[in-house]
Amino acid sequence: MLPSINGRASWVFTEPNYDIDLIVGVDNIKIKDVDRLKEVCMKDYDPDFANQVIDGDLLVGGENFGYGHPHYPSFIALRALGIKAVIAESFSPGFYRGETNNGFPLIECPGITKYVDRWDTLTLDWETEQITATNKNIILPCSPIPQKTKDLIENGGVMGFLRAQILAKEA
Amino acid sequence: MKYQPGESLILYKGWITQMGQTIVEKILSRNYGASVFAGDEKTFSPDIITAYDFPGYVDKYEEQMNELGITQVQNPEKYVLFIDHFYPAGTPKQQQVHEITRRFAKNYGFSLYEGKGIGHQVISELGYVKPGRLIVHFDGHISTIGALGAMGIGIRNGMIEAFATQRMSLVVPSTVRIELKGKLERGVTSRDVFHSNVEKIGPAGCRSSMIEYGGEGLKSLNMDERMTLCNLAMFLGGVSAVMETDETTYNYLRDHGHADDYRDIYPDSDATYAKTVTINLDEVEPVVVAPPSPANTVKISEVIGTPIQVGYIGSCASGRVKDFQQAVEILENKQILDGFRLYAVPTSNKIQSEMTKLGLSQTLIDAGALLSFPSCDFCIGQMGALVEGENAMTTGTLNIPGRMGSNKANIFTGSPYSIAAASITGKITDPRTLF
Repeated sequence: MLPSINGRASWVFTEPNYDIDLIVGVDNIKIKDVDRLKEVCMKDYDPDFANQVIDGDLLVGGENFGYGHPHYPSFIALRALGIKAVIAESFSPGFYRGETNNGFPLIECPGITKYVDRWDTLTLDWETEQITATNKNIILPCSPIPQKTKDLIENGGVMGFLRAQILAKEA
Repeated sequence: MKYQPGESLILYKGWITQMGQTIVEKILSRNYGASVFAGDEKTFSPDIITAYDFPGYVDKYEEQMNELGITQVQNPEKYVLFIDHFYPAGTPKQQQVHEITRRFAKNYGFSLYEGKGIGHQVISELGYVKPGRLIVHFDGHISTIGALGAMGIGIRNGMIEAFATQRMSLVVPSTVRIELKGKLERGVTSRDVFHSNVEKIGPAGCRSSMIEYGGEGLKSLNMDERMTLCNLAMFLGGVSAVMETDETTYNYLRDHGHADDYRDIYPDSDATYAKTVTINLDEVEPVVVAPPSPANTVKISEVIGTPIQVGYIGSCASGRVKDFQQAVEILENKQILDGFRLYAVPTSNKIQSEMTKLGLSQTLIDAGALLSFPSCDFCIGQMGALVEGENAMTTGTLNIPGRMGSNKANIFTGSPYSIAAASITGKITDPRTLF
């Protein structure tokens, strides 16, 4: 089953071509320890971010989110803090592939940064591929979500997907 | 053998298309065995699956293959591994990564090339790349091979799927056509062409699209210049880049002994494009990419005089014969400034050998450059690392803080001409003033 995506917009990155390494900061990109990464995560945006977010929260991003040479630590930190998806105007293709294969939902929703503010509550309907800002009663259509993206997310990432394929073959 | 123009790639038996196709639609149709168009989501079988030694990548794939219980693969000849990072190893830990890469290749029967240069280059020299082929890597700079009319795509950690199943799924990308016209002026390079285009159409100007280069202007660029343009595709947001083939493509493959079954590839005249961008090469001027991001192109005039202490000509983006010929045009019979560190790092052994034959190596050494063996390591600060407060000018792929050592060093990227000019004056200098 696809995971429920229903949570608060814990931050809205309106800037286009956002370099996700800035989420933990370039100085911290080599940190491996998850607790340490959680501490530095989003510090430059909201020093209290780690205490404010709750499990199930989301991030909102602008155009070409994930541009550059994205590294994995920022999203390791965000996942550990309970962030469940990023809804953005659009994603940089390399970043999209990388995180989708990690089983992390990245959903393209043109117009999202125009209508959504921090702490709005967003829900994704996987069937109709629409985002609803429930507190504002706004419905926004997503860009088509590739079937493979859904398969990867449903299986918790590429390894889960491959294990399921191998099991299906053996059955 | 002589180039025969106009032979189009025979894609598959019973090839019928109702609509014109772009190059990427042709490549993916050939691979899929039926016509596909932008927006179609399909599963493809890469012709070649390639990767390099890097902690967290090749070692992880070996672990994942074990975890999936896959002890052998069907077509090991499709797999090519390179040892080109941390080479030669400086620590036992680095050697351990090489050992894992060697073991992984041996156990599964993959081809392995060690110490031959940067894989993104060597893969073309060895004949794995031909017009129409689909090649996957975890690293997006495999787009370099688009210069030979092939599609190289970086699929990041989706690579384990390719390793395990020889399959990958892809939504056929739309195409942005880049029509090149005219000819470059002296002192202007394909780096300038690429980075001015980032300034012109924005770093998302080709987002999620294939970049297709063509037009009369392309014919004026040699293979080295073409590879540079394709290598950097990701910084325009592109999935990858590809070029129309021509006599230059044929001659490159022939000279490397791989032109036997050569076929050209080019788009249909009624192909559908997301957009078309025209670049007049004669209007391009030297530019510099200022820190902290590859999106930050500025005219060289805006940063003239900025002190520079370190220069680096090399990487999978640049570091080919043409790049060093450009540097040598400036450095011939000159001396680099005392205390300036200039690293000249050929992209492959073959290129290094050619440089020696052409006398370029001698000129670089005489001018005071440090001529290195081929390596990826300067581009990532593994060698020639920068310290806080230093300014470097490089042809590396990337100028983000920390890429080449200290987070507090500044990396400017520019052309080999501009780097050579800075190495003489110690500051950013318009190379055209030194001719």
